[in-house]
Amino acid sequence: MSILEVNKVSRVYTSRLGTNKVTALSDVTFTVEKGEYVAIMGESGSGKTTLLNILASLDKPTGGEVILDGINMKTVKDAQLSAFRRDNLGFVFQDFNLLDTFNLQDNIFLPLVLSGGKAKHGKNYVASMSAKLEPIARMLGIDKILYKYPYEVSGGQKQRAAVARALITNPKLILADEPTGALDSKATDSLLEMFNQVNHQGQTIIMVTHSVKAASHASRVLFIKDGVVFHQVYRGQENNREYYQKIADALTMITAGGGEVE
Amino acid sequence: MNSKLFSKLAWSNIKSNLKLNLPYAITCILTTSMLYMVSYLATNPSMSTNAKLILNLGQYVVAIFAFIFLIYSNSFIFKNRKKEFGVFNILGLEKRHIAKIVGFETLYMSLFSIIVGLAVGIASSKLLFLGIAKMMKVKLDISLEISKDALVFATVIIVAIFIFLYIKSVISVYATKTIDLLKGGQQGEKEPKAKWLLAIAGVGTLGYAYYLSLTIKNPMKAMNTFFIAVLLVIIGTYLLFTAGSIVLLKCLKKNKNYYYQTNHFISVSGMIYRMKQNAAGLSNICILSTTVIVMLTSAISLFSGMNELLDDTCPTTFVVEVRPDSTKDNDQNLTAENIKNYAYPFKDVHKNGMSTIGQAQLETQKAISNYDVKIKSEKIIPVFAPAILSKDDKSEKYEMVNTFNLTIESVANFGALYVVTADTYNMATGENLALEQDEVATYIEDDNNKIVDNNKTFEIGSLKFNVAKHLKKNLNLGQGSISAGKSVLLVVKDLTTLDKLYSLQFDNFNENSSVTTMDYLYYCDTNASEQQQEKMAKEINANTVDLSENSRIELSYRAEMKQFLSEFYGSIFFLALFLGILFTVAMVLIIYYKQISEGYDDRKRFEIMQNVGLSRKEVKSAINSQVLTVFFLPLITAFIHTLFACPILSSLLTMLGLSNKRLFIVSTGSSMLIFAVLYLVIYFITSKVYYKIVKKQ
Repeated sequence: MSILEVNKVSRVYTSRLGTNKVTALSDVTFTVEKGEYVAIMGESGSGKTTLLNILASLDKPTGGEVILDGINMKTVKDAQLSAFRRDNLGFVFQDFNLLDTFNLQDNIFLPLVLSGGKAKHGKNYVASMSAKLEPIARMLGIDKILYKYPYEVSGGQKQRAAVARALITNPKLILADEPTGALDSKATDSLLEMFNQVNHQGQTIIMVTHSVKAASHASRVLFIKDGVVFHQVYRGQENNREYYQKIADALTMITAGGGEVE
Repeated sequence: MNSKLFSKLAWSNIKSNLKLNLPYAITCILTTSMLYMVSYLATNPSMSTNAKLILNLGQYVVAIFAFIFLIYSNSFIFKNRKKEFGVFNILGLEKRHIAKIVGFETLYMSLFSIIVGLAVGIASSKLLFLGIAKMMKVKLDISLEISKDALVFATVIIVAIFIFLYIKSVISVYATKTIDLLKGGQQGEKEPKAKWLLAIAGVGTLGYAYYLSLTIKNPMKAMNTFFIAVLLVIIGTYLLFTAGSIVLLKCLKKNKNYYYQTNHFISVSGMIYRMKQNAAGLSNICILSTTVIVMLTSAISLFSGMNELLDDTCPTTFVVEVRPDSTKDNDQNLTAENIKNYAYPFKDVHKNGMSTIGQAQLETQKAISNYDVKIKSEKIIPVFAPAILSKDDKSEKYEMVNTFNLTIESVANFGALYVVTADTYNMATGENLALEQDEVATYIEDDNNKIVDNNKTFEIGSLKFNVAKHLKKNLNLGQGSISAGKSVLLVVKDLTTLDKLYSLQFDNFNENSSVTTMDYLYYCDTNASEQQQEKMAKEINANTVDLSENSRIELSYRAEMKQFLSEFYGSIFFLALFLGILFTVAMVLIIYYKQISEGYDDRKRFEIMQNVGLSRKEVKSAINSQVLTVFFLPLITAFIHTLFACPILSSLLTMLGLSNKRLFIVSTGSSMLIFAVLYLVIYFITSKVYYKIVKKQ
């Protein structure tokens, strides 16, 4: 069963006076199965950020619909949108978006506490939060630095904390926006490795990225160009190197402005 | 590279950063003019010595305040400019070049603020003085000349502050790595440590200051205690805001069940940082607020209590006072021998006094008869008014004491005693009091004008009386009302008993004693206009000169007293209003900076929390509640300070002649209200700036 259905989604930006119309997405259709790991690639301006914003329910499509786990996002009221996002989606950002006023543990707890704290999670919610955090922190290798502050740790460690924050709500979908964009190659490797692990445990991930290396960890890569899904690459029986090459070729093709690939 | 380039760069820097630099320039200008104005008041030749003393102190307080305040504003500006310096550095300017640019900037800023600030100071001192004087319809005896001393004072202080700021900035540029300069204000700040000792010290000092105010008994001591308490409150407030707040927040944070709740989570963690950055600013706001409220309270109470005070000091149109004993002989020549010569026997003194006051009455009537003015009422009251000392609270026995050589300690238990005969009392009040030889009627009031009179007997020196009646009302004699402390009215049967008390006073007479004997008071109430009063008073004075040969004779009239009071209290009110406006302006500026700097901080937080799944509305309410807490903390603390200051303040005002407690309470309430409204207006205006910054995305 697919966890995410994107049906003929379009997004047209109209300038304030309505004279200028810019089409960011014209017709995007794809589905993501539960437990899938999908990368979305495309040039700057291809519409991938718009798509991600729509998936994140930060923006609304002008046409078509997005169905997450059977819920049509159109039907979610504006007032409940934040709560919906909090409960169903996890986010990982390029620039981490950790709050300097919290230590890593509190940063990770943030979505849990925001979604109701004691009122929602019962009397022992502090213990239950810690119980939730423990395996995640151990898996991500940040269990020793939970009490440090974001400005005291490295970029890679910050991003791992951000991943932990995305995971702790047990979301249906993780949306990652250029998660390796601000990391060095070593930290990038270890983060991607971690994404793989998380994915193996059944977590659905959608990742927007520029990096072929990052994309090559996904089971499927969607290429967006001029507001449509221009091309898809599946990981088949290829080894890593071949898969990497396949993605790189597709990317070159799209960038060079070539026609159909297949 | 030449200086011209640097000076140009500096100038364009100032211009391009106008959003930050304009408020900063205004701050510098206002600080300079504030310094000028306070110093101008302090060096003003027409100020009374007492006012000068306080203002002189005020001068230095304002200077210290200016110093802290400008450092505060400057560090805020500087933090936001680090990035700019970093870019300069990368583009090839060495740090010494940057130091030069900063130097030029500082030079421009200081020249600008000195010239404009002094001009503003001179102009607004004149305008404010005249404006307030006109508004209050009082004649102010204040010279409007430009004060050279004040010009020098303000310039020296401002130059010193700017030199300090320059050195501070240069050190900071040199000490920071280029890359960190580039990052500017974005570096994470360490979470502040909880300083228990300082927090406890803060609670201690504040508690002790409150205790001092609450336990004040002796208005005479109130002045000294007040200064100590003020100092303690200032120290305590700083300690509590800087250390206490963080200790409290950390404790809240440690309590996990409290901390990990939606509305506490964001605010507690945010507040810890907020307090670290803003504790000094907040305590400044709190102290300024308290000062303004206290000044406003005193000013309103005194000014609105003026009419009551007029009734107290001059109950009728004319009051003539005759003292037949005459301490007009040089007091130093008083020997026991001399005293006996004119103070004894009582019979003669009394006869002399009654005849003199009678003549004074005739002269007054004569003067009034020249005008078309009616005498509404008149009366003569002979009163024996020595001083008394009640031994201590436990003893019921009173002693009369000499009025020389009083120390603050002895004044503590000091009160005024008035003795009249039953006839006089009945005549003055229209009552029908009849007493036996060993009986008296008493009216006894404590420091706070509360009747404390329930003894069956009244003992004074070697004399003992039965109290036949406890009187409910004092006689308004028009001279004892400025007395702080206890007040005792004793009504005795007749002159014989009065004589006994009179003699008692001289029993312990010695070289250092002064003598207070009989007072003869003539009260005359008329419907004369103020001009008529003045003319009549001249005539009366001229015609009673002869009488003052063997008595001291004094005429006071209402119009004169009224003018004296309105000048005296008008000046106090004016000073309070002036300083109040000055402090409020300073406070507005601090609040403005606070809002801007918090705005920049919160912008990022706002974004991140939205990304993590907090709705715009939720984020806004979370930040709002935090801003509100931070904003109203100083106001609430200032209110608490004010409430605790009430006892000591009321004591001080009693010293200045205001004894109406209800009026005091109303004044306190209304000045708190006025201030709260003012504060709210400031809040709404400055929070607009804040939200503008936060919303920009």
